[in-house]
Amino acid sequence: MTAAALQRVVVRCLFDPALHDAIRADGDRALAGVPLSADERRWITAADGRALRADPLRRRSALKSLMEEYRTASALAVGLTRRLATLDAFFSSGLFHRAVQDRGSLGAAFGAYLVQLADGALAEPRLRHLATLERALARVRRAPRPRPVLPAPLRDNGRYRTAPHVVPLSVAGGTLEVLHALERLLFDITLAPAAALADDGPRLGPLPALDASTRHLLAERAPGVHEATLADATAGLCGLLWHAATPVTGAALQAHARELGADAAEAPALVQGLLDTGLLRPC
Amino acid sequence: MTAAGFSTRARRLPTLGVGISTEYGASQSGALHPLDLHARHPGVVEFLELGVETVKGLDADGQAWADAGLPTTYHFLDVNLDEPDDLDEDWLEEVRALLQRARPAWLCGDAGLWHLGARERGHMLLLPPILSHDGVAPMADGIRALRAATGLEVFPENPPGRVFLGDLHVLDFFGRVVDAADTGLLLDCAHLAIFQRLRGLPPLAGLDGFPLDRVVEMHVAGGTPMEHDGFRWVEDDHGPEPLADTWMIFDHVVARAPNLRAVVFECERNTADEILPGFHRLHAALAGRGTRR
Repeated sequence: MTAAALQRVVVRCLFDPALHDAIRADGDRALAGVPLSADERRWITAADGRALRADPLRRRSALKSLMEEYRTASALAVGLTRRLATLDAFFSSGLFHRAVQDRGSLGAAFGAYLVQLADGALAEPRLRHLATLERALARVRRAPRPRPVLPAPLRDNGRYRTAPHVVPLSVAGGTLEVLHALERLLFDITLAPAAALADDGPRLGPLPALDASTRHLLAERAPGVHEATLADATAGLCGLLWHAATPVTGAALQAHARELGADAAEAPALVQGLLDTGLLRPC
Repeated sequence: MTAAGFSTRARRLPTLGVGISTEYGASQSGALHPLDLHARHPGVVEFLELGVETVKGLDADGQAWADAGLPTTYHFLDVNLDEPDDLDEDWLEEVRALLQRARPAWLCGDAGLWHLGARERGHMLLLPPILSHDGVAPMADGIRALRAATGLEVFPENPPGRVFLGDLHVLDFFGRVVDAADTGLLLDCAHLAIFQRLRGLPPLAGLDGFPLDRVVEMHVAGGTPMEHDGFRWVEDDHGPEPLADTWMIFDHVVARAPNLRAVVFECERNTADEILPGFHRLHAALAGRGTRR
């Protein structure tokens, strides 16, 4: 399957022609870890760099899709830096290159990039929490379509995991208020896009502050559509679903429910309820 | 269905004649509506090639054509045939539902990289395969798998591109693919012309050694010569005026492809007046074969 590996190198070069320059300068270093034959290395090295650069809008059109999915986190990052280059640099990042070479998700990688920005150069917790939230929504949009739930009694020695179309998450109190403020700003810009060029047009003003509380949420892909919903959840529900992020036994889930505060009598019914509603799946 | 070899199965394929392509929302650009064209110019457009991403489905034009019971083919825009993970059950369910609605004669489409990674928003592109021996078997396996999953023939198409890597000619690569998959080819004459120019080859290079009995369908489309920093290529923009190279390839193959069943003029975003001369030329060429049923 080295042809597939080479194909992914081509994609990386199309989005980031600097990689092609690096391959030409030092192929061993630029392609370290990529399983290519000697011929394949020769082919990519000999490729016409001008052809790789012939679509100047390639990055911009991919960024458009990513920004649509990470609407508020992208808006905050650009609003804080006043530079689209902040986000465009994603295509030169290790996160982008790894996602393409490993057949990963650009959406997930972009979310990780925004978190990286929040924790690093921008030092902005609100960006981190917005990116966490929008990343969960991005993940469930990509999940397999939810299947009908078949009745299945909980077994102590059965193994279960959180359904792929569900992602529990916790964000700081105030995150949704920040999200709504940014949504309003984007709506204002959408009404008259040229207003973004005006000095008295919509601007990123002071945003709500985060507080010390924690908001627990559940992102879920609805059956039959490629969209995601967000609903409030309890700390206990999120805790149980996190615990089942990798397969666990029914007995372990009940024990964890008790640790989270359920009494011995209600723990089995609580876990059975998650199975019946499809939030947990047998595996 | 596939116990019989390709040559036997090819004899059972319907002859569709000359068709037009469409994609979701194509007519919103103010261009033609396929069903209107069919009604106003009887016999000019005999079938519709539906360009489909399952996430979008059929638009009103595609649905209206299918509802009228007119012939179609299904041109996928969202599957990397050489990636086994791409034929996931969700996608196949959506494809089967669309096949029930449109009842196409077969499936076809560019055998290239339609999306980087998995099928996700923002991942769409179209790149040609790496033209090496290594890429043949995965592509053939994907064609066989999709044929088995849908019960319909699946004809790979040579994609366009600006960067073709590998040591094989595109016709040599696809000759090996259709042999390994025991299937036919959708030969896109415009894409082949693009390839030949990029490699500095004459339009008909490679055709003498290609098994033309594998060609079931052909595409003809306009393209625009472009230049960037001294690099020259032809943009496959489906304009109304095919290049002379494209016509030369078409004329050569149409006279020598015994299993040819369909020709599509890919011109979905143009007006009727612009494209009628092209359709008339295609009909004249097929009439000249003397094999239409």
